[in-house]
Amino acid sequence: MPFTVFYLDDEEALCEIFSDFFSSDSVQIETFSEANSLFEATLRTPPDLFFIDYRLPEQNGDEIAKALPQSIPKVLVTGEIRADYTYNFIAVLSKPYDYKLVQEIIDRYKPL
Amino acid sequence: MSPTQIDEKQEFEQLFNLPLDMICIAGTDGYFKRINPSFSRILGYDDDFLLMTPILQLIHPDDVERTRLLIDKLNVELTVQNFENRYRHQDGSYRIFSWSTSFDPLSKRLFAIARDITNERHYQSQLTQMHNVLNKETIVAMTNRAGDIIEVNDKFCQISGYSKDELLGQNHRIINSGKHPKAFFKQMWDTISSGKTWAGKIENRAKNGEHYFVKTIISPIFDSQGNISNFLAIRFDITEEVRNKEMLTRTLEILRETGSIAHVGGWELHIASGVLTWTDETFKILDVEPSDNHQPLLPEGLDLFIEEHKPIIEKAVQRAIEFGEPYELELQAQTAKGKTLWVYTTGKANYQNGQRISISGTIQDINTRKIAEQQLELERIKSIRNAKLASLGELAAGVAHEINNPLAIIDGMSKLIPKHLNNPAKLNSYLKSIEKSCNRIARIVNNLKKFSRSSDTKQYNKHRLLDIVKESMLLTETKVKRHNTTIELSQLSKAFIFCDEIEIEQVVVNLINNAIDAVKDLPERWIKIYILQEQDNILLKIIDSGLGIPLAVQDKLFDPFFTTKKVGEGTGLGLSITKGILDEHGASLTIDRQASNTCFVVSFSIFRD
Repeated sequence: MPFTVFYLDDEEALCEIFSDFFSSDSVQIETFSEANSLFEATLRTPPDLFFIDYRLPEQNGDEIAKALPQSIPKVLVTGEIRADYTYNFIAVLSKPYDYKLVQEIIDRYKPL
Repeated sequence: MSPTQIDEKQEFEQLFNLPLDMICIAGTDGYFKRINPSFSRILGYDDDFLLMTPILQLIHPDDVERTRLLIDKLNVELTVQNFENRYRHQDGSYRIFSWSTSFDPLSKRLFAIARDITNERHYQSQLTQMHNVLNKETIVAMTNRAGDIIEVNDKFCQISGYSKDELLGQNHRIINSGKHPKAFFKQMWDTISSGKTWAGKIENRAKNGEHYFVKTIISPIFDSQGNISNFLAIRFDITEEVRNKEMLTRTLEILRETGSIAHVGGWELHIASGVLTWTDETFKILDVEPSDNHQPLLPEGLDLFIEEHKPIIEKAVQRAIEFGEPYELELQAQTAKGKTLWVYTTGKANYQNGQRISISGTIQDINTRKIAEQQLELERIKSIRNAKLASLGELAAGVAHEINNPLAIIDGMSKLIPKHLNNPAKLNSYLKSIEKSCNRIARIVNNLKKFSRSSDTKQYNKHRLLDIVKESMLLTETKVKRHNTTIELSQLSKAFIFCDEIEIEQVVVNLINNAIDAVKDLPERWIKIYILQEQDNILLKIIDSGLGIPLAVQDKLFDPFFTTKKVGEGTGLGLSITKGILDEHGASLTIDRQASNTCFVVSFSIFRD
């Protein structure tokens, strides 16, 4: 069973890039442009890792993170200069993000 | 005849012929039988004519009947004295004769002496008329030597309020007002007692206690021995005149005082001579020492303005003189002591018989106000700049996200391109995304560039309000999104307004930002913007889901530094600046109190070419 990463961003082009960059035989990337479909998918098959954009139309990334299963590690992605959050993310990445760093995080959490 | 008889006859002849009075003998047939020379001298006819003309034909037609009756009466009474009738002079005029007549029944002759009293009657009539006029038009009183009233006319009673009975026998002191010192009356008494006429102004008191003023002439009246028997006082009521003068003096005093308080001076320029007349306050404002022997001339007056403003005042005065144009100017004066101060000065031409004879006006020290205004203007510019910086800061924060997202797309896709070199469709789609992202960034930067223009120099132009509102919505898009608010623009009028685009954009941004702040904590969050045309005006309505503004707050809403926002969230300058900008554009900002939601209405005049 491949390592699953869920990526949430209302910017669809970024979803496409994320998927294009990090999909591999061992890593399955699923992208969501709005929170509800992410919640539904999580309920069905929870992923191994979340990447969540901060600025979203309904709720922000911090609020979404708090509503998701706490056991699954989460990374906050943001274009803001200063994003307000209280959730304990494993990493916070600024856009445009360093793809190597994203790869490192995935690699770190992916079982060998 | 004996010599004695002859003498006697001669004497009687002389008695008949010599007197200046007229002596005659007339018959009952109505003719003169004998007349002395005075008749022809007084009436201008010769003796023959007088003796051959029936007497009644010589008498004034109106007196004929009376004269007939006199003759009848003489038949009975034999003697009548002081009978007056008029005889026609040869020149057609009439002379008045006073007759003393006797009738002798035996000889049936009338013996009569007449005196020409024409002049006496004339003087008498003049005197009577004068007396009547005096009585009717002036206040007359007669006193005895002690000053006790022995006669007053109606006018005296009227003005004093006393009846004749109350006055007669009273001393003249009854109307003394007590306003004049003893010396005043002593001088008056000394004058009239010495037989001279006294004239002066007296303040008297009427019965009801009110004072009245009279111009008075007191003249002593002498008896036949040349001693003063009475005093005659003739007075004119000058109360109104005195009161008017008092009022005028008081008004002038008030004017002078208010002028001094308000720092308003007056001035007048006599055109022909160039002489300036200044009020006290004008001297004070311009730091010029008033001097009795020096009157300022026009060039001196013009010299009291700073070099820069001299040509302005010179031209204004010149045009007032030449064309009668009035002026109102705010200029800087350079006072005689070298102080520079702002003054408001007006001037207008004065005419006499259609000719401009003078220019007059005011000068007002407005230095304090002007400096305060200038400071306020500086503060306002500073506030606008601050507000702009604040919104720029907000914009920058929002913009970071707006730029970073497309940047992330460009960055990511460009890194992926080498991977898809063999997949033209994918490649094409990525390149399109990159281009789109670049445009997004370019648009944002463009907005920023415009926003950072200095607003110190205003640029008024014709702009479509709709375009400005759309631009403003772009600038607030981020904030709207962040607070999860919907914003909707409808009923679009495409009318133009004449404005400084940046300032109006700032106004709209400010109003939208306020609307967002107002609804951000409400369960329902929306903003609706309408652009409507209403006659010659174009209305911009910004309505938010809030439930209106409390009445207590409405009045203070446009005051600087008034805010209902939390500390750190707003300076309270926004709406006052917004209002200031709109005032300058001749536009109004109001709250629609009828609306069930919060509704701000900005009304501009439509600009037509």
